[in-house]
Amino acid sequence: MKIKRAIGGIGLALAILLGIALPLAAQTPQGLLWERVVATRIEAVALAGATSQLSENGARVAVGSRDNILRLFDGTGNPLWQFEADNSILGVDISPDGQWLVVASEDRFVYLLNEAGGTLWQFKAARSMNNAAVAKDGSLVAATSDDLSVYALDADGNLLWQEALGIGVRAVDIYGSGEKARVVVGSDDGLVTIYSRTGKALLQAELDYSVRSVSAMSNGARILAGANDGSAILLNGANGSELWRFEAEDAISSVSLAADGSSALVGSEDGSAYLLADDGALIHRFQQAEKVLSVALAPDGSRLVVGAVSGVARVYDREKALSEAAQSAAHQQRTIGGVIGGATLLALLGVWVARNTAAGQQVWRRSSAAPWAVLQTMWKARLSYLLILPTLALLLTFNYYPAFSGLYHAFTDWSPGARTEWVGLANFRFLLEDRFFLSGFRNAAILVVVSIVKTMTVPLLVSVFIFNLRNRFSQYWFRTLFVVPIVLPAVVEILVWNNIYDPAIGLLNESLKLIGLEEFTRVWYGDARVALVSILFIGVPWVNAFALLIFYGGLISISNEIIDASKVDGASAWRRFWKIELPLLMGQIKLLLILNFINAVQTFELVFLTTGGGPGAATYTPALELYYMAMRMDRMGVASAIGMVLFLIILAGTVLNIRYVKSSTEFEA
Amino acid sequence: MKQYRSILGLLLVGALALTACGAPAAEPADVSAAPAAAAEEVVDIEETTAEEEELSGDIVVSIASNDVQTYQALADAYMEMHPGVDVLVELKAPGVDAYLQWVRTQFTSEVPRVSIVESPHLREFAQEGRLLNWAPYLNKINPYTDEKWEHSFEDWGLNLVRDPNTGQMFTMPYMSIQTFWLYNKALFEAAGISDVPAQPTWNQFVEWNEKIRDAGYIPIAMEGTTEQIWGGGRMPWLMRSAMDQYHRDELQSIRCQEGDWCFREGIDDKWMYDPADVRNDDPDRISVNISRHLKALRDGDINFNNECTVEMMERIGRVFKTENGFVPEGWSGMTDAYPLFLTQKAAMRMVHGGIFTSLPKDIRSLAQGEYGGSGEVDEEDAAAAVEFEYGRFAFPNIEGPCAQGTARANELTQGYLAIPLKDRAQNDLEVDFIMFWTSPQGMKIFLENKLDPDNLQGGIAGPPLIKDVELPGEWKEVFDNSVFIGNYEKPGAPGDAVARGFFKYEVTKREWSIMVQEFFAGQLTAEEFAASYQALLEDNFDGLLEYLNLTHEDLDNPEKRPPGWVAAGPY
Repeated sequence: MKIKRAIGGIGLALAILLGIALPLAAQTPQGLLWERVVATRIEAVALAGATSQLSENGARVAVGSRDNILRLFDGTGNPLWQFEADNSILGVDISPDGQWLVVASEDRFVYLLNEAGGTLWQFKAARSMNNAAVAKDGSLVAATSDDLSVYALDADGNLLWQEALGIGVRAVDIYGSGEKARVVVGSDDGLVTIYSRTGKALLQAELDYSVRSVSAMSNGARILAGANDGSAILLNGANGSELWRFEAEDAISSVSLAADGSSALVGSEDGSAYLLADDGALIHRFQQAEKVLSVALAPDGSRLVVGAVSGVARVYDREKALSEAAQSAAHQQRTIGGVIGGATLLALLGVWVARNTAAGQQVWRRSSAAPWAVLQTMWKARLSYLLILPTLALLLTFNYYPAFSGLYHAFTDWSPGARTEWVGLANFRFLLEDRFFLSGFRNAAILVVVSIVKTMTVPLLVSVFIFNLRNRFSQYWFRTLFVVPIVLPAVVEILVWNNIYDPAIGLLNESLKLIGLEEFTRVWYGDARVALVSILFIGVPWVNAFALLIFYGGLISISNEIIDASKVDGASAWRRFWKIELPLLMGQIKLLLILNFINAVQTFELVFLTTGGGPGAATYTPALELYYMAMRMDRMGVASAIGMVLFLIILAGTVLNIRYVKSSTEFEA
Repeated sequence: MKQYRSILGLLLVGALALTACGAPAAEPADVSAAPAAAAEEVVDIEETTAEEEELSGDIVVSIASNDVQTYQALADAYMEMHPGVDVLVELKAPGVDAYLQWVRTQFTSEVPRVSIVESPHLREFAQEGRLLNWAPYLNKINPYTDEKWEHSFEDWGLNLVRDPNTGQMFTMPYMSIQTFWLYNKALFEAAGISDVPAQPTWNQFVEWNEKIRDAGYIPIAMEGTTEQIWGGGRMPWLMRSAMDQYHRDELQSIRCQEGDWCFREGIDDKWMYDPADVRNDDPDRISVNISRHLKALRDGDINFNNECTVEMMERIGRVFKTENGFVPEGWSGMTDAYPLFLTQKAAMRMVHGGIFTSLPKDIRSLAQGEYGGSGEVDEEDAAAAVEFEYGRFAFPNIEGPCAQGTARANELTQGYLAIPLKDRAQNDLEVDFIMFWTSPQGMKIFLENKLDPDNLQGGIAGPPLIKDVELPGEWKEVFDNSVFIGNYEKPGAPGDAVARGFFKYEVTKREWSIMVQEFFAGQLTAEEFAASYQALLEDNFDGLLEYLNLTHEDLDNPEKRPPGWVAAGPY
């Protein structure tokens, strides 16, 4: 007992060690200089100047957001001025020296602002402007619009050219200056196109997926493109060939390349901004708590800004981030090393205790003996285990895996292949207010009772009738005749009954008319008062062949001696049935109770193929609601929750059955 | 003792291994080295030439159809042109729910094997970014026509399918379809009806029903189970057409206004409300702002609990209330009333253009005692199944103080081809096959097989949407006689969006279908229906918003593009 306590203590110590170490290890360095929060999502950010070139006050951070405002901050996060458009700001760019800012807005305008926030000019498109870029000397502005076009404007706001792409476009950047300025455009057809200042297409590279963002080196030698499949691809600006590719975990929302291409920043909807080296290697991951919508890297790569969906703009210092990352990694390694070392020592201590103390040796022998014996037994019967393995694997794959998957997905918002989001008990709360599900329970209860009654009466009577026939030949033929219909699929039987119930030309109504009972004709499935009863009557006279066989099997297994003895004692057939046959059939009754309960609770095809749950919700069952939730409503999570509720009900019913319904064997005992 | 040693040894080795496997320290970057300054000159662009390669690979066609003949013929013709390509025709059994479930299963794989699927219910996959956007390809030259692919299609068709805001299109149409009423000329004559205009008024329609009923026939072959109403069928066509007549003026308040993100200069600034123009709300004439529409619904600017809804339901009830005897007895429990029309027991049936190719086959099958639907067929029915002369008329115009325009019908594109998003090379190959399919030579093969009288799985519902493709002989004549009255089903149409539940939100569709059944059964009055429908909206509004991926904040700022808005949304 002491040893057990000691082992428990070691386990506890390990857990504490890990509990302390893991959160420490999870701490990530930030390199955060400052952050600013606005009321709405930040759609665009831009960064000008850097600590190596300008003073803190000389650097500029532009933040455009959904509240129509462009905010400009200096290097320390002090607000300088703000510009307000008539609708959301969707795109922002700033020249490296902070002299020019270009703003694209949902109000259909692109604005060129000077360093003081004054509007130099504005240009209106037919649809919203969704992004814009400005040359480093302010001589050229390019903007993309929801009218599926690219616009190039000169320093005075005059339209130089417009390219109607006829395809969604929102990725734009400019490299070079003056007459040598070039426009880089990425579009939804996966094309990255370089245009001259005059609008001539110079080069086109074809990517696999829609291009969401582009960024070019100051001389255009390298172009970084972010695509909606989560890849950021560096292209050779001279020939469009791919140089390297980085894969994020979700779509790329924004990319930014340092002026000299020495580093790249990739913002993704996976909630991260990835800082990459010039060979595409990951330098550092700036983890955010939400989707990253926009990123910008200072021309020299020394600073970066990340705009997130929650309205937070964070400015990081690259050097600080990397330095802290290195420190944190070393700290993390030390922590993990310490945990492993501690765990090893504790384990060694455990072994020492087990080896050098009498009690330890005793516990070791006792605890290792049973598993060892099991392994030895399994090895002896290895062929049997090998043969059963495929069946076991198939069972696990096709029965257990889907069942457990359903249990898990009951707590999720699940669309297979699309999303799986944990929602806790929301699906179950929804079910509490789902009138179709709730009314389905009333119907399911009726179905359970009626199903049990149907199974426990007619098949039992028929089986007793056959059993008591004196002629063996008659027994054989009656048994065969009653059992043969089992070959008819249940679906066919239901469809036949659909025709019988047809209100216009069905057998039932026609028969009623024929015998003068026209007033009793009904729309059997269309009348809420009789719809459920109509369904319940399907299969009249309910000679369930399976139940019949079970009962009959039970009856023929009753010892002839008991029957003969009762006859000698003068028991009537009726008394024999109640006092001998029925008590000895309790095992069969118990089995059929369980099976019928399970089948009735899961009733689906009977309702689906007849009324579809109608009229109104009159004939709904939980299983039908499960089907509709999965197939019609695309709410697989709720459907899984219904499945789980049904599972619990069936489990409870089965347990009660096993616990309180006695089989004949127990009766005899 | 050996065991102890082994365990100790294993522990030590394990500890060492774990230490070695611990998270490596992030490579300390060379933070001291300042990046080199970029060169001032811009890079020279090299001359590049693209090499043309022979197409190769597999294309898996998995459409929900039993018509192997047609799709295999297309595949064979394509493979003959491109020996390196293997087109596998792996059709799936028709049936909306089962096919969608199969499609969902395919999409659980990151890269589905299937190349081409077809269904009008693929919105969720488009929204999740799993379907190819056809728009970039429509911009390209179709190698089988040598012209821009987009130019092969009728403009109106593409306009109905692609998003008016972004141009994105995720399902490809290639045929057209129209809904209308078909009537049995002999039964009309027997009832004393001789004058049948191309589009009757509702009063005329009611009068016909009375005459046919009094002559001893069932006026309308209509089924009305929950499934037939909720799942889509004839009754929803009628209700949507009616709602369209009563909600057209709402365009004025829900359209994109100057300053809205969706406002299109040159289109929205020129639009004028004209209920007499059946194309007044076409997507190439007006943009609709989903936020404004929902805001109007939320704030009660659009309300259903009023005299206009009552008027509309009373008009509809004059024909379809069971007590009037114009629909088959027990129609609310009937899943298929088509045999009543085929066997000339019923005089009228709401149909789509597919009836022209299917009716002769259905009568022939019925005469042989076979029937593909769910209705019952007996010997008497089989004997009654003989070809008869039929005529057509357009959806009747409901008239009343609140009716705002003439009745319109489904005049739609048909064909919902979609391609799961894969890498460019594979998608290019798959699109090439569709380019062939929608070229005159591909469509010729398609139509020849679809219209082959021996192809029991064939048939078309309307003329092709592809230009320069003509239907063969008699079929051209049949479809040329079509009377076009306008289309109610189009993006943003205010009536259609709220006609059967709200915005295809299944929760409201289901409740609506039950309300409709109760109304026709006489359990709800028109006034109660109007009140219940408004309550349905109010009770489910938040769920509706969530389903549409919108928020109240979006409705409060309708000029802004909602962050949750998607091009393929159910708006």
